[in-house]
Amino acid sequence: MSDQIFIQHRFTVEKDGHVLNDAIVLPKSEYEALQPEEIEVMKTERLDNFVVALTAPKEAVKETNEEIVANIDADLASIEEQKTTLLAMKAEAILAAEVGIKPKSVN
Amino acid sequence: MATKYKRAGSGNWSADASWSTTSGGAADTVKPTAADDVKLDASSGALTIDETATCRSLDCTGYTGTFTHNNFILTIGDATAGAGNIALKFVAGMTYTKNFATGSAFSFISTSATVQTVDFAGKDTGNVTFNASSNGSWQFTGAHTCSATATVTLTKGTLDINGQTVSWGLFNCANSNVKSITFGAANVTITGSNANVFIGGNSTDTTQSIAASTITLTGANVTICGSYSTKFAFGTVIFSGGGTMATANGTGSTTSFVNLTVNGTAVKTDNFSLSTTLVVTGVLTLAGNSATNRLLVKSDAVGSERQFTNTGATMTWSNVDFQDITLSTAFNASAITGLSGDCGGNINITFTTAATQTWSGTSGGNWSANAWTSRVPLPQDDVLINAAFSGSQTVTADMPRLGKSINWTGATGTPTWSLSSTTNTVYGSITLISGMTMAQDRNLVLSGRGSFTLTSAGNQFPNTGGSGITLSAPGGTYTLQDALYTGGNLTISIGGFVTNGFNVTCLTFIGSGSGTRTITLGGSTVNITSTSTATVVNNGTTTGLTFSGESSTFIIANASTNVRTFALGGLTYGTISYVVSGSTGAMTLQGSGTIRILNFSDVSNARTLNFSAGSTVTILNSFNVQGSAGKLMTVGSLTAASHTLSKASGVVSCRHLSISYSIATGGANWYAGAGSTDGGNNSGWIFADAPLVSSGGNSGLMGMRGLNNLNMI
Repeated sequence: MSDQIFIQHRFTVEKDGHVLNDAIVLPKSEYEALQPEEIEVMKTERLDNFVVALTAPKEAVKETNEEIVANIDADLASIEEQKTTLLAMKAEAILAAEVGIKPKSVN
Repeated sequence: MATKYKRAGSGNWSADASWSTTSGGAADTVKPTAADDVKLDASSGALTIDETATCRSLDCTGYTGTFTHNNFILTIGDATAGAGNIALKFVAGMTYTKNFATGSAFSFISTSATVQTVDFAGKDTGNVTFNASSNGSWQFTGAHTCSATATVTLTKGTLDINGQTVSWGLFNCANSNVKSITFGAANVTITGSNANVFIGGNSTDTTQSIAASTITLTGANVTICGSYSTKFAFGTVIFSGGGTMATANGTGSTTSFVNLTVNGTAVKTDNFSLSTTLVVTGVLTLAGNSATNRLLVKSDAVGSERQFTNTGATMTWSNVDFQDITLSTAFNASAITGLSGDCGGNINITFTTAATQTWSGTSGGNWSANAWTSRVPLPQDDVLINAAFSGSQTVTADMPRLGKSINWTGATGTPTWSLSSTTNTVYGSITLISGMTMAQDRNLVLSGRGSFTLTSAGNQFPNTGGSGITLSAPGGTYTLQDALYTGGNLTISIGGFVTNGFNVTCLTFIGSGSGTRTITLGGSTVNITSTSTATVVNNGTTTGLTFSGESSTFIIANASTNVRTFALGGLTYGTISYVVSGSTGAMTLQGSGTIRILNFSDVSNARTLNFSAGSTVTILNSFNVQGSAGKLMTVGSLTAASHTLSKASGVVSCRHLSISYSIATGGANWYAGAGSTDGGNNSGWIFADAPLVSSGGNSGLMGMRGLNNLNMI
């Protein structure tokens, strides 16, 4: 990858008490092609997006998706165990009926 | 001691009527005891274990019936060997039905020193335990299967698998009892998953002879060796289940293999994790499934070296990446099938030469499917995405390891970069452009081990679904080139994070941990957007942390009814502000720390500021905790014990506070003035307005209450 020169134009803007310290970082040729008013528009856009982001909070989700998948796998394994248990209870009940033994709860 | 035969017809173990002292005979005895040999033969009917059962031995020679095993343990053995030195003998012609995957269990407890045979005839059982209080010796003479959730446990005694073919869920001999395991040339398949499936005992109490065996681990996400320090001398071990496959040992132990094979599966996230040195003397096979379903071989601790001692061994590698791995004998992996990836920290491995990869074409698509310049980027390859994209194109980062530095400079057409397929790791800088959008609900991990930058260009990492940005870069530093926004957690685990004066906006900020890390905030403002009951700034554990935040500002940015905690970690902060209007949720400053300016006020509602009992919070400049008429700010401790607020000098002037369990000290005068109440258990607070301070001058007094009030936000 050939070297590129970038311009970092730092700025501070404020709106509704929210202060944004940011920068416009562009290749030198792109930056120099911008008019001052275009730079101001970019600053304003950054500030507006920042304020929107601050005022639209998201809830913290503690579980990662990997953890969610793992938990679901564990639940599925538990369901399989429960299925086996139920089948055994059914088999025992059928057997008990065949031999005339009174129902007994299975641990 | 007697021999008990199962009588003809169906019957339960618990029923005396099921048993006879002669084959095919009448009911003339009681159910078996621990001293009795039990026989099921051609004359026997169906038998059900319907209670905890015991016998000296169980011999099913000639049996063609059905043996049903409910959720009870059949305990076999006493002080003498079973008849014919048989502990258990199943036969091919019988039907064995277990009704519980694990609970239809066998426990072998004979204390006889005579070797007794165990033949499951390939049947599928629940848990099997070998546990002799003394002596105890068993030898398999047939195949055995148990389910993926069932465990074969050697607690105490001698167990010889005798070269048989067995398939178990898990194998466990992790205890301090004296025991011996011999596999011979056994084929052992371990089918358990998501667990430590082959666990050893202490090296001083376990005698092992397993080096002639083949152990195949078919479950996903399995670990072998466990937390004990057994130095297992394996024969051939094959991992084939995918996910996170690992070895684990106690500190200082070494596990050896004749042949070790790790086969990846058709997913992109398989990895093999080492926690200690592994010795391989024969063949070390590390094989990813394909060039895009690659296997990552890594240390279990990022930045901590783990070694393969591979002297004299043959390396058979393909489609594999490495992180923090050392070989004792160097190997050139530059031209292996699927090439080799360098994620950093590796020694004595020659990797495929890095080559910049440029996105091919003007359409979006999957990272793994693009033609690129020559290959899907390896971790050491810089990535350039500068295409003139046609409209509404999305580049989907479906590879877990994206490349070194990712640079979007020059791209047009407003493409979207989607980080929503898997956790993505970048091993260098990230340079975004303003003419693009981001989609993300997976973690982004920054792992470059050098000096790198992060340029967001106004883009926001949305980080939905609980994801975030994590710095995990041993020896590396990431410096912001502009403001950073993430909708998720910003976690600094390892490495340097330099905000360079720019804003950081994140759901929560996590600097707590134990990795070597540096957080340099300078004069940056960190906006915390979380509204959940959570530790939204967590610097609680500062092991390994160098923190520079004395000029920084942390702002709790959003209103909430929930309690948000700021774990100070004993560090020094510039400004901490929680002044957002309409927010009734409390804030807890957890632990001790130093704050230059604390702003806590709200003209529209009351709320609570809690400190940890026993903590000391030192204020350097201003304690701007202010209520208003009818809207008291409550200042207290989390529990019914005092906290300490300390300021070296000057006047702290507050109003409309309700204070309890607070010690105000340090040299300054602490005033809780108009509207304030003494909630009890306070000291050092003066519940009165601060005295007026004259500004001087001939025009008369111009009163100001203390000096602190002037530092309002």
